[in-house]
Amino acid sequence: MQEKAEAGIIWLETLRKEDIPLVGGKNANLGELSGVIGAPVPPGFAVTGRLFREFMDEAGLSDRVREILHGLDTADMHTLQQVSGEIRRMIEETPIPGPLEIQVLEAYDELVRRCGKDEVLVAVRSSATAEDLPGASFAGQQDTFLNVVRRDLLDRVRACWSSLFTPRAISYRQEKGFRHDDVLLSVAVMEMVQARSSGVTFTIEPVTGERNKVIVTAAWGLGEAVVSGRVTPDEYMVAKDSLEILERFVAAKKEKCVRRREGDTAYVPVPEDLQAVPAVTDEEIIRLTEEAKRIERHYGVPQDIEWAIDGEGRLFILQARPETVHGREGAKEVTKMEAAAGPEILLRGLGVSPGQGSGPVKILIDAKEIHRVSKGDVLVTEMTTPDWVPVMKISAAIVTNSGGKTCHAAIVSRELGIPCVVGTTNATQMLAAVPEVTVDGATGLIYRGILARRAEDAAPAAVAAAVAAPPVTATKVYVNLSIPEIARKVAVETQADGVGLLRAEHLMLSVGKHPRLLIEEGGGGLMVDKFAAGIREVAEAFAPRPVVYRFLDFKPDEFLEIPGGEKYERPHVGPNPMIGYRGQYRYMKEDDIFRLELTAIRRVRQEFGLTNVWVMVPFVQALWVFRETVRIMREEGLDNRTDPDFQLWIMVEVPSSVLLIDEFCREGIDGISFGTNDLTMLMLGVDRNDASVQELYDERNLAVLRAIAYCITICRKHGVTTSICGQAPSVYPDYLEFLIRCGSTSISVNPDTVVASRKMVAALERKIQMEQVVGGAIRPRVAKIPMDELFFWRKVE
Amino acid sequence: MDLLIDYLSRRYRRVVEVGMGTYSRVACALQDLGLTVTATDINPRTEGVPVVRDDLWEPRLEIYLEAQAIYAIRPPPELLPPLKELAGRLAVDLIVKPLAGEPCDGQLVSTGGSFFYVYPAGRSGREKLRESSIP
Repeated sequence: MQEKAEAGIIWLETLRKEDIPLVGGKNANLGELSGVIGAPVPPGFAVTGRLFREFMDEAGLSDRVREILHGLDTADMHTLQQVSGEIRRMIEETPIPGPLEIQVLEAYDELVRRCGKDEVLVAVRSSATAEDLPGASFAGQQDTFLNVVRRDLLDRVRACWSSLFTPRAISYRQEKGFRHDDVLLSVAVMEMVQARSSGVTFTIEPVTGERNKVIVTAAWGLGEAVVSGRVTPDEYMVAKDSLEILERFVAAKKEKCVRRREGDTAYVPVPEDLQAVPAVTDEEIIRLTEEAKRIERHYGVPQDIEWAIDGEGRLFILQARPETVHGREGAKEVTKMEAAAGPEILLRGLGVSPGQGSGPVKILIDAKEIHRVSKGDVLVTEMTTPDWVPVMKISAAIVTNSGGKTCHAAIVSRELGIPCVVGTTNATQMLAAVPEVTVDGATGLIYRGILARRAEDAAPAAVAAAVAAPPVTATKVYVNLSIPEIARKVAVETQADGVGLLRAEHLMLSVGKHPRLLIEEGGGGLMVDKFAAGIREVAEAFAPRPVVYRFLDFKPDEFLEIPGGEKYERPHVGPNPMIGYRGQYRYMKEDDIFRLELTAIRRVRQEFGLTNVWVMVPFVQALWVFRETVRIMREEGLDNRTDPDFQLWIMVEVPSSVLLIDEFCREGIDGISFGTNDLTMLMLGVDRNDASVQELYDERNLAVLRAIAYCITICRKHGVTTSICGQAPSVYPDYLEFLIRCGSTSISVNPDTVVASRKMVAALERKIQMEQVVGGAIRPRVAKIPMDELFFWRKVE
Repeated sequence: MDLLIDYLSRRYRRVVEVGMGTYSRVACALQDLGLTVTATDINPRTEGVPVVRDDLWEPRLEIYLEAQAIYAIRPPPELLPPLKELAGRLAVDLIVKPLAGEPCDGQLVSTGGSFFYVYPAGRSGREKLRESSIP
């Protein structure tokens, strides 16, 4: 690493992600792609940020740039452009000191040797040390030069360096809070791929955020045509699992970007008989998908991947980076505006960034006119390039004539969260005489006049109303929560049917002291206040939907390290804390702590009127302890027998509670929720936190499935609600099917899986309904086990 | 926590504890062992270790750029997805010590009754993990 840190040139295949500070995200990613993942990346090297720094320092440019940028107001577009021009000229006109120049040229000569050719045309691409980082992809933020020959190499490298100071780059760094001095620019020099076809692959549906799809876009010639949005590409949707091509859209690709004999690039017409021919074969689509999946698996987050296929059918990966919107936020419900009869539809295009935006139409033909755009305008143009970014940020919406889901306008507008419609063909003409429009970035429709406000400008209540209604399901989809602060956001974004598990342990951790110590110090009231405030925040966010609060489930070893823990928990730390002093048994032994929780619940229900708060008792083992727990609850004024709005649930996670489920139902419980982690551990006698026996830990083991099937059957008989708050249903689709077929009334999953789970529930319910209609003859299975084998008790006699 | 401290100190020189809360023992111990430790929290309230205000839902990446690994102790389960995402984007290992019984789908490391989960950064991270002997 030390050696690398000193180097001016580093070969791509030796670079790793850790080298981002030296060579920028693009170069480090190329290194990771070729050296670690083994992806087919063209050969090349990085001119490091250090070499750039040496150039700036030795040529005396660093200080001058700092002086020029000091106090710059980036909102003043005119000055910004002037300052940018001045700095860029300085960099491009200053000779590179001899020793630095030699390093670059020698590396190029070595590349020529490695390629076994007389001359190699290279792509010269900038790789800023802050570009391509999370939340900051900004397609094409710096420059790329194609088909560069040796004599132009140094000029191109300097041009890349100077692109660090384009108006958009300066404005972008101010926006994201990067100091200009901290961002170095490295340059990638790679052999050019003589591309027959090129495109971009997304390992996530970039508009809706569906992660089980891969989108491949492709056009003839060099990829610049697709990335710049000048050519509307073919688009294929592929199922990530089965590799089935689900949708095809073959565009009329009238132009392609090619290398000219002179070395530069140009757009030329595509022969008519080729325009409507797919730019990639089905086999190539599958290869691209497989390669993309491999890259996504490596990085663990959705990727957008630039690729090219040469004349001999060889695939090259040119760049991979995190998809910047859904990869960051998780899939969101797409908000679509009802195409009501009233508003006049002026134009249709491809909706690529959901949301609605209204404002005065501002048609721009050239980036030089960007100073004409004011905040809140709807920007209408042929296609955006990175130069447009400063005005894209202040636009209410963006409309372009050309482009597809992966073009510059689409990527950047999604990142900025600005509604965008691309591929309208002729918006610049059609909207020329229209003063104001409303753009719906989900449906791709453009309406006359002002019809909508941007979602974030609307009042919170309106946001909730604007979120597309989720599919109606018979099985409720609840969410698991432990942080009250995010409850409102989760309630709005997921549209969950309620909270199926509100954990108390993190509330306790946020209090920061052992409850016994609090009581000893006379601070029991503090715990009640904190708990009541947290529970109230969640209950208000979800009201009138239910919130099932699970009482504290202390395991002694977990609380040793908070103040008071050593004193009060140490005596209870047994050889196996998971089956030690925990759960409801503690309520009986230390009822004063339990009563603090009950006081908080009572306050939220009675004083704040939030009767949607219900309770759940964890780790229920024995009937007599449960009865004791219920007695204490009643003493504290919480009685599910007399209060029709109050429900008492138990966690089913101990085998005894499975076999005694009918007894618990008779005790008057209203609901149960399976804690599949503990249930699996205790059914199988396997510690899930012991790596040496992990192979045995299986939530889909027949014994566990039988336990769940049995409980649901008994509960249904007694009219008791059943739910699950483990992760299994969101991990295994057949698990979800199993629960629904057994008759589970709800599931409760983590916030990031609510929307997807609900869709799966809706699909499964429809499937089961259809089977009933057509008399489906299938034998449903879970984990390959026929479901009828789960109902073991029916065969006992 | 000793297993976690030992694990981190043997493998990394620069780490970030994400969402420190009020519990700084691990970070302090790592500092004492010579590691460069930065901690983040949306609401910094701990002394002894530099704690930087940061929102995991919208992390400021410059805080993490130098880190070789990030870790979190008893994070609420809702924070697992943004933690994994942050680690994935930085391409660094993520180590999570959850509350017992709470969901965590990383690679389990356990010994002597202690445990935590590791999300290695790519293949090189996994190889490192395999090669290393668990203390």
